[in-house]
Amino acid sequence: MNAPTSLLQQQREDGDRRLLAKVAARDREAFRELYIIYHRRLARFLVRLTRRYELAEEIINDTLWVVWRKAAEFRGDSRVSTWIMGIAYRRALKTLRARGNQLLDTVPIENEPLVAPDELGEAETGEWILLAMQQLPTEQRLAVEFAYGYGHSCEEIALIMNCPVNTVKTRLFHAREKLRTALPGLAGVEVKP
Amino acid sequence: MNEHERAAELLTWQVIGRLGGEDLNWLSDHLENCTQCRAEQRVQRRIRDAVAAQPVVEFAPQASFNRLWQQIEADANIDNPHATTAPATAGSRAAARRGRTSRWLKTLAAAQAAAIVLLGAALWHRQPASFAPEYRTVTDTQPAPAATDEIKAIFADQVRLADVKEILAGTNMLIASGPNAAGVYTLVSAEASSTTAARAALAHLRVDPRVRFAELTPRDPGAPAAR
Repeated sequence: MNAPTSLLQQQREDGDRRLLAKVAARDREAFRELYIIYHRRLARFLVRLTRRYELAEEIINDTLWVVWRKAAEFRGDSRVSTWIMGIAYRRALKTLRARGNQLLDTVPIENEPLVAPDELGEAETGEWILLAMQQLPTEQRLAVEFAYGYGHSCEEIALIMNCPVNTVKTRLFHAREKLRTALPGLAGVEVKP
Repeated sequence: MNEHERAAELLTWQVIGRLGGEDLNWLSDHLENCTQCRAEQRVQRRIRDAVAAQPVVEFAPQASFNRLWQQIEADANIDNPHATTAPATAGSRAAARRGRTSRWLKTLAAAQAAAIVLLGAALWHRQPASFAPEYRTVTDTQPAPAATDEIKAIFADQVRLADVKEILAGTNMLIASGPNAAGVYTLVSAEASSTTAARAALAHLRVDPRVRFAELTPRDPGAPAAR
């Protein structure tokens, strides 16, 4: 499966690489610039994953601290954003597990069907989707996030989540099925039995 | 996998612009003739729009960056007190590259050494102002000191000086000795002869993810105090 990048994505990648090279040379201003860019990108999924702002901030700083230390070791085999997302993903899981795993434990088991909350009746479809996503198991939710939210390819998500490409496909398949089941009004699609 | 399932899988990448080549051609052809998969495409576009359009969380990234940078500078100063954070020169960049691999290990070792000195000094000053010998004679009239439980602890690799201080402050323990060759610290309660305090501290240490190992060991009352 090809994973072309758009001109915008390529320009962003080029900029990230230039900044990372300067960070490897211990350029504070470049690090600050990279930090601001990735703070925004990481905050979105980390807040939704942890549901706590201060914990998300902690993971962001842990992640960027690793970036500062390891910038010179970046080999360029992947996009910079894939590399940084992978660090953030691992730091987030490690932090959550160290804190008793309570958030990871609260998500439904892998293949349990979602239930659309009653209060969603009057909500917009977008809100339905976001609320339904909260019911997905963590790994499925993050796969959706990395694909639809950040535009990562299947291979990039596999790198970020350190799993086989087929596992990413499976997670996305189950996530789509559950979202569709939970959101019967979505795009007028009939609910599959 | 039938063609509709294949289309559903490819649609994920098509709606985010990450599909090309033959897969994209095949999908385009399929969509022209498949109402069901065009509906699926609409579903996936809605998912994409909903996920991508979520409001950006309002943080104060500059303030967070300042906190991180202070930490980096503190680490660098422990590693090399003569180091500066001024813009790097070619020479200093080369030196930084050479030293980068071991910098963090050095920082950690220096932080731990500093913790030992600081906390050891604190322990010394908290002792009763008595330089009585650690042995007893048959004519001693003072009661023998009670045996004090010690805790043997190993901190996680990434633990920093500030973490060690925080952990010890939270448990009211002091470093009596260590680390030994295996990285084991000996901790004693800041409250003299308090086995209860040591046991309470042990419970805290064992649930702290920054502590890899913690075990209570009764100290031999005849043994010299560790400093």
